[in-house]
Amino acid sequence: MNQTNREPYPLSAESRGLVVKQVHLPADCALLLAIPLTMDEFYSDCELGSRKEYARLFRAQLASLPMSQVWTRYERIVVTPALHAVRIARSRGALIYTRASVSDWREAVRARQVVSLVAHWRAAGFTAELIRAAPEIVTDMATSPARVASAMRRAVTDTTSSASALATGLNKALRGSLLSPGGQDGAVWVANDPEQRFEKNWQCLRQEFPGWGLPESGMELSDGSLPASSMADAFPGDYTGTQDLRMCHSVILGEAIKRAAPRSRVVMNQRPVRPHTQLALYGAVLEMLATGRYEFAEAVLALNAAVMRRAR
Amino acid sequence: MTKLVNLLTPYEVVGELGAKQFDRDYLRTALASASRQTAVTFWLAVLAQMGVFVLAVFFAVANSSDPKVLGAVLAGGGGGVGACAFAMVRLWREKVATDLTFALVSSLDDGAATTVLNVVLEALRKQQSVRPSAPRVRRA
Repeated sequence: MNQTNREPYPLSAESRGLVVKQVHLPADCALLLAIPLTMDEFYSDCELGSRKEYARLFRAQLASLPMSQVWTRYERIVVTPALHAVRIARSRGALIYTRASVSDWREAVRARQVVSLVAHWRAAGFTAELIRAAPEIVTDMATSPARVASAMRRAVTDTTSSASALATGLNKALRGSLLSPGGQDGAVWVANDPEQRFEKNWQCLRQEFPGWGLPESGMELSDGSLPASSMADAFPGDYTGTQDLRMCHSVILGEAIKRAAPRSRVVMNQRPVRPHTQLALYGAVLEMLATGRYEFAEAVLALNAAVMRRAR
Repeated sequence: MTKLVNLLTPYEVVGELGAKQFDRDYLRTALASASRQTAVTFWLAVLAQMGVFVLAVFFAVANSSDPKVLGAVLAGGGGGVGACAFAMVRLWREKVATDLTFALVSSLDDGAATTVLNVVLEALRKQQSVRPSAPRVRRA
């Protein structure tokens, strides 16, 4: 009788230190799109009272064009590739959520092993309007004995400059280095990312100066914006699925998820993300998974490497 | 116009899934530098044209007794001058477009400047992709 047959409770391959290649099929995946995909959704998100940033930012960048032309451009750049990816995903048996909400996302996390999320990341930061609305920011920064305030004072020497210049200087300082010692807090740092530093410093400022009314960064879903910490709370500690975060600077949310569920796999990026590129790549990843030879993250890496090789 | 297109491409509105900062200072510096480079290249093209012309005259005078060589020299010289003139026109158009974009970026607010940049970019791309049309046949 050989050794393995004598084991009443055979050890898992993972416990033995062996690497087992997991394979994902398109039917193991879910795709959530939390950006407007119809003209009605886009127009309603562009309204001032909508509290949605993505559509309003798109509109603001093309402020001098009539709304119909803005929509035409949005449809060409965002909607068409998104609907194409949806068609591919649906034909391959992936679960699709458009206009995804927080509950959709939680449901997808429970239902499928791989969850891809295409959403807008609402980045926090100082703006000229914020500084004008809260003049105590400048006075507190100049007088407060708090360590964070003195670090900000060192970063911005001229506090008498315009609100816009001050906002730019402060944001630059927040991306520079950690203002408070111990800010790393056992976190999984991704390549010393400036956006992660910015997020840590911003949280530090929010705690130190609650009176400033600093807004929180977070992910924009159809029913509101959720900060990274709240998103990460949705994961049980033993979660082993894959989260594919297709949004700008997703290292912030990705790090929070890895901290909450260390055995999860998170596909994240440090750069701004363009939906038409990401959605085309997503379609290609599903085609790769359909061959039955790839694990999701592995397919993403292989595809990115192939694209980079071709670009060179 | 390729240089200008490359400069403006990062400012294209493509619906990035996160906030995007409009870096006006960087763009202004890059446009000013591109305009200077184009001006230098333009004057080099002028010098090259003069050089080609002088060489063509020199060889033409030196071979004035041989009509066959003279014909080849004049044809080559004419072709060279024509190519230089074509390059100069293109460079001048690029410089004017870069200077105009610089002026617009400097005077407009962020939203209007981004809109203008996107319109300019679209126009430049259309210009690049336009292929020469087939000659029209005039019918009696």
